[in-house]
Amino acid sequence: MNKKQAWVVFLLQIITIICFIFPAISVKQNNSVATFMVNSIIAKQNDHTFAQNFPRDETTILCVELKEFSKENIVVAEDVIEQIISEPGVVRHHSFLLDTPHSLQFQMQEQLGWKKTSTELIFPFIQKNYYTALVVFEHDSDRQQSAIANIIAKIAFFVREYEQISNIYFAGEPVVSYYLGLSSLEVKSKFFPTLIVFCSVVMFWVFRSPGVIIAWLLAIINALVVSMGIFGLMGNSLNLITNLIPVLIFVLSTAMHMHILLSLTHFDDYVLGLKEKLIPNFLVALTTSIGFGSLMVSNVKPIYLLGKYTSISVWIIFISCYVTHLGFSKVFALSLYQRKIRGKGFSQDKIFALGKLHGAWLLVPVVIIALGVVTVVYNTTESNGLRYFPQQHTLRKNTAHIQRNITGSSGIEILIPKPQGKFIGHNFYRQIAYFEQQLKSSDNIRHIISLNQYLRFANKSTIGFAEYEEEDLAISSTTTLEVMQKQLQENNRYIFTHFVSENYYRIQVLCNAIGSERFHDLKSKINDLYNEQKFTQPFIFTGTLDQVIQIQMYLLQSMGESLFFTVLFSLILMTVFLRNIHVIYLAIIPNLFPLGCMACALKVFHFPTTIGTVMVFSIAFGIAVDSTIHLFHSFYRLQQPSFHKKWSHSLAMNINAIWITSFILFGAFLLIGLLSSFLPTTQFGLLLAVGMISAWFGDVSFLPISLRLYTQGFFNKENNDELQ
Amino acid sequence: MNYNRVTVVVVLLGLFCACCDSSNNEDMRKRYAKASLNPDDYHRDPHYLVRSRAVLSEQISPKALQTLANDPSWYVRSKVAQHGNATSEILTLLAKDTQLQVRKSVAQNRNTPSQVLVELAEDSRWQVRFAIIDNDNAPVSIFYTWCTSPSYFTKKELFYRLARRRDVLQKLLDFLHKKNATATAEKMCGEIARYACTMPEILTDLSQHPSYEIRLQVAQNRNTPLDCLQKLATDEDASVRSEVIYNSNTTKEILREMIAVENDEDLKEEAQDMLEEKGE
Repeated sequence: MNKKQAWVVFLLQIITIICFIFPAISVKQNNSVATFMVNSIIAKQNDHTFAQNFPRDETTILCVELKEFSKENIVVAEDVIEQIISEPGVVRHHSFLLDTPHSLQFQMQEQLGWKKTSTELIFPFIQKNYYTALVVFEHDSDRQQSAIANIIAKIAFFVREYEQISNIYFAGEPVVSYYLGLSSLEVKSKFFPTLIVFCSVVMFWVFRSPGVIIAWLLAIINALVVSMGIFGLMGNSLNLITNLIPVLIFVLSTAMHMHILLSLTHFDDYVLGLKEKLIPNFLVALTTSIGFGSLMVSNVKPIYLLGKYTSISVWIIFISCYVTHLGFSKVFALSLYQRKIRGKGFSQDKIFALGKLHGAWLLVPVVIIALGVVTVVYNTTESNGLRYFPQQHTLRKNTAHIQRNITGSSGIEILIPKPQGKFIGHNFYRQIAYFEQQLKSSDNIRHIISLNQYLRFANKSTIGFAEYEEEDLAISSTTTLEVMQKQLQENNRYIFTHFVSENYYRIQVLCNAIGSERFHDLKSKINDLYNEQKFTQPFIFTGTLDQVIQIQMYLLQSMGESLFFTVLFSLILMTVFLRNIHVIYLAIIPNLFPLGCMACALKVFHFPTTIGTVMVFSIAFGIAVDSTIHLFHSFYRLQQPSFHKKWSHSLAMNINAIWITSFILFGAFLLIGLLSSFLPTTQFGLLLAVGMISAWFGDVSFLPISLRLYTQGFFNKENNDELQ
Repeated sequence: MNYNRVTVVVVLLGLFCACCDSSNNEDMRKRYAKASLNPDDYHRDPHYLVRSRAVLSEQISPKALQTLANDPSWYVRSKVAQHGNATSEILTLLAKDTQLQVRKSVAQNRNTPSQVLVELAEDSRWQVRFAIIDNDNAPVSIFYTWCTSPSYFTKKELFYRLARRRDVLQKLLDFLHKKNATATAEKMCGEIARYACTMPEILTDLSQHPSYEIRLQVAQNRNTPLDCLQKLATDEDASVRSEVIYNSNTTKEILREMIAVENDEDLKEEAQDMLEEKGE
């Protein structure tokens, strides 16, 4: 390859980067629950039915704690709420002074006293010293998130500015999404700078050449820009899971680059060095892409996307690593292979000694793998977004405070199919009224918002007029109901578009932030109550809390499925490319060993199974198998019958690259884990750090033991002669 | 060359200061505090909270107010609609605003032209419609329409407000009198007297109403002042006098007076029983 061709390759690489840079940098963040929507048919159908019948807006709770509860301070609180929420992205708000007719306000003030009014109102407006508003946001993620960011920024200002106010609390699913987005942005603000500095230091320590750093960075930038450009062009957005794609590209690219650079150093020749690592790197790309690709079996959409785009990125990394050395390195004639790598890592003799251990040591990884399986099966799962934050986080404190003092902020939607014909038939209405009465008394349900509740509210507003004495709506006459519905329709038209569609009657439930067990209890209780009323058709159960719990249900399933496919395909491919069926059982123990260690680490660190831990097993296997491939490749290439000579050759060829790669991966993931205060990222980093270091240990200890036992005929006597 | 360098440095410093200025929350707080003192200096501030503060000042110029009537923030527009110096042009413009709070503020503003108020009386949101009752310039014809509305909700809101606005109630009663809608007026007064009213002056007025039904409602109301109850204790209608006996605010003195002057033996007995119940 001459210099002219190298220039063409280099320019093509630069043009590719320029072409993809705009779509790559314009990828947006979206952490709404909808983006984590489970790809299940029922969940999708329910969500679709809801979206077809009712406006998709999202409710939050904004609560002003007053130092002293008085009419004057309520007016101040209302004004502050209006100032805070005057943002594009806020659809409307419901509050006592805005939504309660004056007549009812007077009545409450004069007859009940301010602090006893909550049961009289449809919304939890007034309790103790709290004046609460329900703030409704647009479904559009960008406008919603920007409005929430501005509201949070203003809250501190108003608490300082108004002496009547003790504190302002803001909670609800959209706020959780906002904070999830902020935490996932740690990738940009913390991880990337740290990773670049850490890896640059390691690279410089190993190669002592600025040229290497530039070539390495160019390959990474190329892979990052092209991968993220494709991700953006396909209309995807980043979230707390897919934010890991750039980090993974960085880490995987560094690992692959290390093998190539050390091969170039070893051979002192471009062509030889690149050729030597072409097949193993191709195999590595294949197994890693399968490792990540197996995440595509997941029903959780972001995990699916992470798997899909990382497996594509692995090939882009593979190409960009080779293109960089064929173009940039050649054009600038960097003396990449001049410097010998000496004295880096452990001594080869010590490493070699590990392979001489007794065969019984293989029981150690077997026990650890068994322990890991038990740990994973019995580990608790956690998908409540709130619990991903530390206990002292503002969001957790606010939500707990609001839940303790005012209401729950998790939403459930119940859609009851309406009988056709009349607006709402009397019998149907009675069934609904009884159903709602019983729902209200259920554990963990804090508030119910529906047409019926508005009618109760309207009834309260008209108490005291001769024609309209207070009565239980469940037993009121058809005429009364019809008149009330008509009046409500005239006075509050939007209630009808929000709570009654042509086909469904909607009940919006505000409940406590509960875990999956209590949620399933609540769901079956709601089912029983519904069946008691003998409605003709089954109801539709959806809403944010339901979606979150569904994600949790699919977490373990995803983990099992994706790991099974990763192991299966990786082993098949290794067998095919290395043309040796015995690879299957020789590779399985050293490569399952890191997974066992990671599973045990779950127990040691007291980590629950979350959206962050589900992925690490497949990813770790995909990365761990890379070193095994490099060792196998060199081991089988030497046409020598002796195990010792073959293993020595394999170690001589790869040990530096494997050690340095493992060290870089271990360090990078450890930094990610230690720097983050966000639970899924902490888990992701720490578990993968454990996985990387144990994968290295498995490769230099248990792999040679397996290979030795195999070549000595322990596994298969017939092959013994052939190999000897 | 030197000139260019200086220019670059100045531009960069300017940009740096501008960035610091817009991102500094402390600075916004200062502007927020000063805005109501020097409204014309701050009515174009980038932050809507500062602009809304500027609107709170009485010294804000009509031009600035006109500019802020088209502000992108509905909170600022609602403050313009509340302003005492808002012109009828501004209020007419804001009456068509999509935001509920802005229209509500227009409905409450005394400068809002009557024609605009008549239009707002038919607004789709009750919050806007009923805000008109607080407006002194609201035409009585609007209240008359509500008074005869089939909606109990509308009537209740109207009566509760009227029970706290003696002047408006009087205007409406005069209007009803002119229209010869005596039955409507009596029904309205009855409801106000019984359920809505806490104002002693209005109850005193209604206690002198020619209709015994209205006097009866006043006699039932717990907020009726003692002198009124004393007068009603000698009312020509027996049912009114009976209600006075059962009003929880009726004092022992009133009951004793009733026993002394009452001709109806049954009522006398009821008053005696009530007196005993009250501990005599």
